[in-house]
Amino acid sequence: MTAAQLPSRPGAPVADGSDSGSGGGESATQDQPWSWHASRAAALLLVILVPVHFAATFLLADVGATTAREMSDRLADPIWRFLTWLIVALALVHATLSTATALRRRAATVGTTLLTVAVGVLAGGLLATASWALFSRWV
Amino acid sequence: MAPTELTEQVPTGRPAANGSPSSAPPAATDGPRIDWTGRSLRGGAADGPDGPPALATTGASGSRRLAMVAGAVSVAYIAWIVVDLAVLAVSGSAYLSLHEALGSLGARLVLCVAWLAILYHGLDGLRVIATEFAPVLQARERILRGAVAFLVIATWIPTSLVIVWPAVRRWFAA
Repeated sequence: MTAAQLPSRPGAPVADGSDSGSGGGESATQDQPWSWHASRAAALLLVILVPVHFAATFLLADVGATTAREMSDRLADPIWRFLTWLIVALALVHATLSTATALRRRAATVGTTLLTVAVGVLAGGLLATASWALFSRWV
Repeated sequence: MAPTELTEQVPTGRPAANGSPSSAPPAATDGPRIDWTGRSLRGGAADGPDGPPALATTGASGSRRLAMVAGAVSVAYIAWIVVDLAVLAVSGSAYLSLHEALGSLGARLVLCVAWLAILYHGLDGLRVIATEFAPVLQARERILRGAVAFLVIATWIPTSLVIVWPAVRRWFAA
């Protein structure tokens, strides 16, 4: 935890990106770092996009009977392809920022820094894989 | 915890900690660190950047831990989406084999657990964001938590039945 993450005044939330910080109200939320706002913005989009994606993949279609042709036809639609990429990108950004702040809260050691970097690299690798799969075959 | 349940007031006018005053030493900021439930956060940044880890003592930490576990499962779901896309891009037959395996009852039950985690993480996150941007909702904390639990269960049960039903029907038909 760095000094920048401390509440700026009494009642202000701790900038840890976690389940905290409701005491300061609107002005307190404005004091948060960019990563806090980015994490919340991504979360608000994901709370709509992920259930829509899950419903389209597992509720409207039987996951055991989904064929490669059906999935290819779905991904041939550029809107669906972009939405899929957006879900993956937003989720990985949200996860990386949240993990980084949660690790920083525990202790600012070399180990947590390395772990944060590892999470970032893993997220980057997943996003690169998704981008390659979505935009190399269907474009 | 409602502010009326707190036992002492700190000089800054913020809700007091439930622990001993020594557990929240003077901080580099205007007052001791107190989490959104009004409980003190022991050590950590309150003692300076090099202090011991800051962890909520009780109460909200359980809910936070549950949200983190649900978040981790949700990330696993996203990782699965990426793997699914990569397999589809590489080989159509491998994709077909993968989805045949996903049609089993066990895989569907795992999907149901992932769906439960996604629902909980999303709805509980909405509650947290709503409370952060509208502090007046703090007074309705218990109602909001109850609403989250109700919505999660009311959504999860019927949708899980939709996911599991094809495998159950096949099992009875065999």
